[in-house]
Amino acid sequence: MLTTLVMLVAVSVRPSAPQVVPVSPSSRITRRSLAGLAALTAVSAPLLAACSGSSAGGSGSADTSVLKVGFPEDSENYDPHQPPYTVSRAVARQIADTLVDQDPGSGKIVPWLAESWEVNADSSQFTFHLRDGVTFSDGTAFTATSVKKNFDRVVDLGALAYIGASHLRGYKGTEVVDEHTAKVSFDGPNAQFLQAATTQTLSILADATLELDPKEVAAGKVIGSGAYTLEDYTPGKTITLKRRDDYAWGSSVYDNKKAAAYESIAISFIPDPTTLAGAVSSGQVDFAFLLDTSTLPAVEGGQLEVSKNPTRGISFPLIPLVYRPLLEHEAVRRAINPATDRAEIAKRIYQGEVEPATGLLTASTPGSADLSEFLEHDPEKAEKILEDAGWSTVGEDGIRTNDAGDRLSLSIQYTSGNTVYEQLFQLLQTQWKKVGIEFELKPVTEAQASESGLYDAKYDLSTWTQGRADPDVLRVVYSSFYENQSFFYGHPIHEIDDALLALQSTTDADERAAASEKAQRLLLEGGYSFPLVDAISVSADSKSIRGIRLDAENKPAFADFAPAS
Amino acid sequence: MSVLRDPVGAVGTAAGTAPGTDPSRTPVRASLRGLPRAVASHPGIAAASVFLLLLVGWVLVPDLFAPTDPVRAVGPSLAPPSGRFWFGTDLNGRDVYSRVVHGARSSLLAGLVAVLISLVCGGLLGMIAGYAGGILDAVISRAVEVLVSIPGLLLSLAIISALGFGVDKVAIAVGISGIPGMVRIARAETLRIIGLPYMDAATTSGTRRPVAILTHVVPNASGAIAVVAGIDLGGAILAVASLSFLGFGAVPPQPEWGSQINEGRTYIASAWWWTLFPSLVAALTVLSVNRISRGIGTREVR
Repeated sequence: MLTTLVMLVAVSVRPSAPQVVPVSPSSRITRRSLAGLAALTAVSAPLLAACSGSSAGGSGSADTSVLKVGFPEDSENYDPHQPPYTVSRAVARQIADTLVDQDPGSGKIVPWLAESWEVNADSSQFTFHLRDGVTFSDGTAFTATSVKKNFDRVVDLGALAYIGASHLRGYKGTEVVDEHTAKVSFDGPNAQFLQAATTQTLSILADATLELDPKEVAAGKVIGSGAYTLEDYTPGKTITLKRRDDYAWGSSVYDNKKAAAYESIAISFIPDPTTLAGAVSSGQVDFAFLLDTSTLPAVEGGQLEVSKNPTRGISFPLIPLVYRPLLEHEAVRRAINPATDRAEIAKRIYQGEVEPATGLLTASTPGSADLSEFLEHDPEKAEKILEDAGWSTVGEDGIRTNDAGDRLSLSIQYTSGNTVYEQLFQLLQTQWKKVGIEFELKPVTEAQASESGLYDAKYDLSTWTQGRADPDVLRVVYSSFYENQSFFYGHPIHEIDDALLALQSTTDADERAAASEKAQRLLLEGGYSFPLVDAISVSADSKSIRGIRLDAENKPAFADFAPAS
Repeated sequence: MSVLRDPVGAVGTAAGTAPGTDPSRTPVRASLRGLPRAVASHPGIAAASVFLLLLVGWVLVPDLFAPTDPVRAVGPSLAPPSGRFWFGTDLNGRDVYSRVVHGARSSLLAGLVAVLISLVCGGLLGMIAGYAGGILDAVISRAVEVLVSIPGLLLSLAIISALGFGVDKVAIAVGISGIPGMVRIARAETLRIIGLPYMDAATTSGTRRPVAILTHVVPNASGAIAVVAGIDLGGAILAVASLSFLGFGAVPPQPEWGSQINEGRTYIASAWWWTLFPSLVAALTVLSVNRISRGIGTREVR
């Protein structure tokens, strides 16, 4: 469940480290130069649809040869173990299976490659009883040794698989009890591991793939046991998936557990949001994944089925870089949440399609807590916090300074491009200015963005969302544990680290929810995060597809797609 | 109209200091005198002039034309055009009309600065190349040919990537990419002029080379160069808007036409006004500038 949130497509799907491309990396010149053309395409798309519609309709509607799919971006890394980007995970979902799966409705963990499992009393040992007869697409058999080799590799990958490292924290090893029994041990309780085993980061791949250099795997040389195989990958353009006819071990939440209906899946990368919307409206693709909310009016109300699902995981936040001089002041951090009007953000920027954040986790995440008391818009409170801390001189331009003469000016750096974030930041600019905080926008090119990292930034705020249907996701983002992934790495806040560790070690569901709430409370009280909205994941399909199966992270599972007859 | 006055005015002053034997300045003067008549007999030019006058107003006193704050929310999000919001509002509830009016300054000034850069640098290099000849000419001409082989907008993109963001930097980038074209014209004009008898006269009477450039070549070549610069202005405004559209221009929330067109683009299905009106104004501006420059250009050739 570790895909980055869907509203943050631009952030999540790019293969850059989170700290260097904090907001929107959609800035490549090549892509941007196409933007003008894209707008044109969007306009002309309905016309083309009108032309092609009649001929397609005549050739029979239950065509199962190719399912055409549009993805917003090429994440350029298709090793399921490596990147946490949504697009990579969506592809991994088709070509590789996991030991267990998560029911998108109930959030329960259900069998997949493991038929059953036992967990010891303190959740430090997990024994999986594996399914018989499962083969990888190169013909080799899936056994307990495969489980061991895969988990060992994730740990060995280290920084390349930092999400995996957080899942397998305290990993002692996997014992091959017999051919179909694997026992995974940790040096202490690891309550989140079972849910982590449903994520693509812990996908089970064939030995042949594990032996390759991680770079080769990233370039698409992946062999899994999935319902599809990765047939062809043309960087920046397409991915072609081919059906495995002998597939017979679909996840227990799938309706179709046998070979998929569609012979092949043709994925095209369509980076411009309007073009992607135009492509699905015109029938150029049958299914568009991760549509931008700005294009909703274009796809809704037409001949399309639009699904809008709340994302699970971290709410879209701005996160203060606590080592920056201004943000070392607790008052400055604490003033920002009450200065922010989330309802206005949801209403204006997202046109009411999303809900204001109620905590650090989206409301639909299991184990989330309603902490909206910290997130109420109260400019007077913000002003009082600042006044009390000595930010009492208001200049002619309405911006506060303190006695030392420091100007209350925060900045954010983001990769330039036409994004909803740029609009959002401008709204924050006006909201914060009302209490005397200046918010400066620093658009940069992608090259400039990579000049500084998460821990030596020359700007004050950043953002990162991470999707996962488990509160443990907080530990990855808001702790000080993981370099390049945890915001407080190198600047630990011990109280918060301890509270987050409790999430991993506590097994009882109620206790975990309490631990999640405690950690979030500490983070909000200290002003360590400014959650804004709970994003939604938007996808649309032409009505030629009957069954659309989205998993617990809203990723499509093409094995369970069926054509309308 | 200030757009035109600068180059033409420069010609007038320069012509005054030129030797009386100069035959080639008469058409320029004629075009200047004939301007009102030309406007009257060409309704296209007249309309273009009126529009440009309006733009000059927007640049000089934007608050008079659009008193609404261009960077603050003044209404609901994405409100359609109405009596209150002539061009509708954008996602942040800002008045699109006000943003277009206030954006005129950065968009147009950036275009002017860009042309000025190419005019000064390109004109100078071209005259030096044409007058000096020999190795210097070869070096400058070959260098220009290399630059000309790169499409202008791509060249500006390369430069802007190095310079960073902002309207001023966009203007510099567009200006630099306009230099090669200007060098060629200045060089050709210079070559034409130094072949004329009065140049021989100047040389034989002992005028030193740099002086000859200043007193004979500059004033006589500038007529043609100014007309080309006028035509380039339209292209420069467009190039500035293009780079802004690609995200290199004004840093938000500062209004600028190109970035406004880009902002509204994804909402074209639901809020067409957000991208349409800035596009229309930018297109009309370029058309007007071109119409007027070409009007003068035609007379210049005659």
